[in-house]
Amino acid sequence: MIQDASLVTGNLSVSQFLDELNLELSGMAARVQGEVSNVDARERVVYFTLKDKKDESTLNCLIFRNQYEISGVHIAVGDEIIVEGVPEIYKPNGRLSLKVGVIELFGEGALKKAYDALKLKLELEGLFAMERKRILPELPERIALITSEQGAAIGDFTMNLGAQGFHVHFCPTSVEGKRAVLEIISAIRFFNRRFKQYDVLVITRGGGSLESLQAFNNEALAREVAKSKIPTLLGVGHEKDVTLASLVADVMVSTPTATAKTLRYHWDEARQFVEHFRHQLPARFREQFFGVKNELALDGEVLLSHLRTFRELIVTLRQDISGKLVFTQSIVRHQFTGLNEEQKNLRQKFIAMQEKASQKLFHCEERLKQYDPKRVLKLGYGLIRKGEKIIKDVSETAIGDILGIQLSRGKLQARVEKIIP
Amino acid sequence: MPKQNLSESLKKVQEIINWFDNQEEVDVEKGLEKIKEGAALIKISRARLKEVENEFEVVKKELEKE
Repeated sequence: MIQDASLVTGNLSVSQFLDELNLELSGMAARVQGEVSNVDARERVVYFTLKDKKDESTLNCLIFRNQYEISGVHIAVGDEIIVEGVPEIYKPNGRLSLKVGVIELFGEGALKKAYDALKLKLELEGLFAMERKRILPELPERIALITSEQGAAIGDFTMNLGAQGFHVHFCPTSVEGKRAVLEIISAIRFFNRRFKQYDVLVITRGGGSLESLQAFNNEALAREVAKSKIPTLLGVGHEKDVTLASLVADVMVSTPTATAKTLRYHWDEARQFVEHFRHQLPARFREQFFGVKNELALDGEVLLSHLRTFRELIVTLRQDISGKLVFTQSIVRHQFTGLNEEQKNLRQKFIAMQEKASQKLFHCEERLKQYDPKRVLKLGYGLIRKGEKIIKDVSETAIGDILGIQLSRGKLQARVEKIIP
Repeated sequence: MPKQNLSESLKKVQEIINWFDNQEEVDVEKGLEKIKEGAALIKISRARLKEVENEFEVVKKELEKE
């Protein structure tokens, strides 16, 4: 209904007017330089006033706390700063304020002062301590890369990386100016959400003035680098301007070229190592093998010499034995000869004895023959028996006895007719 | 063949070299085994160390989606 009324009357309500003004003002973003004259830092918003140095004109400004933190500039009364923002009228009180997005310190001197202060603060927190530094994987393969798509840095980096088969995930960001800090932080967060996929996080850009490297001296960015779960390699700026982000990184070098060379260094070394040992390893083995061969040959010699000694010993022994054998044989043979002689003697003796015995026997026989009754009978004597009994006395007979008379040849029977005593 | 970790392969080659360096009692059979293993590792490592183009993938779009 109100709108309808305004259409009819052509009059705007206050709110309508302010809305229209704000619409117009939103297209009037500006970069304003001035001196801080008042600061009121609340929980969610920081209010401050900018004063014109020449005519004391003032401008109300506000910045949301998170943007203030990211800006990395802690303003104080008297600081000369540059702010970027959009003007807006706060409807409840009709005040015009500049809604600031980015605050920058003005002038190299101020920047240097801020840099030194922040450096000291981070150092005291131990963020630069060597114990915090992680060692980069020796042979990184999966690289998370943050740098600008434009400029020489990306070209220098890729040209010097060499063909190692790296998997590079490249997140292009601004590396200078007001958007750089936010973009780099969100890129670091993006890669860290999948930190297991990467071996190393590389952030690089070419050198420049302290002002152009400002993003890398930003506190929020430096803290984000320090928090990274992926080991970090920072190649930002030249040696004279070491940025705070570089100081908190695990490894820092000064140029994109040096960054690439750091990544490939161990790959080149590994290549040399492998080529070296491709030849060296068989050589080591040959060395060992020939060592053993020589040793074996030597052992063989020793064994052979032992064998020779042994053989000689056997020959000597054999000669010795056969000598002894011959000697023994001769003894036996000698003994045998002796034995034969003995046998012969024995036989002769036996024969002699036999002869002697037979002579004796013959003699006895002769003697016996003399006693033989038959011989007497042959001489004419006779044997007289009475029955079986030989009669040697006449008394053994009586007249009338029948006596048997044996003669040399045949027997007689006779009767006793007369006895002559 | 399972994907061999290059660092591990190189470490093993180094160990084999150390083994050869520290041999006091010579064991040719073991040496032969080691040299075979070493040769295989070197072959794998050489294959991995052959010049291979880097893969580049721009991930900005994915980041913006998140």
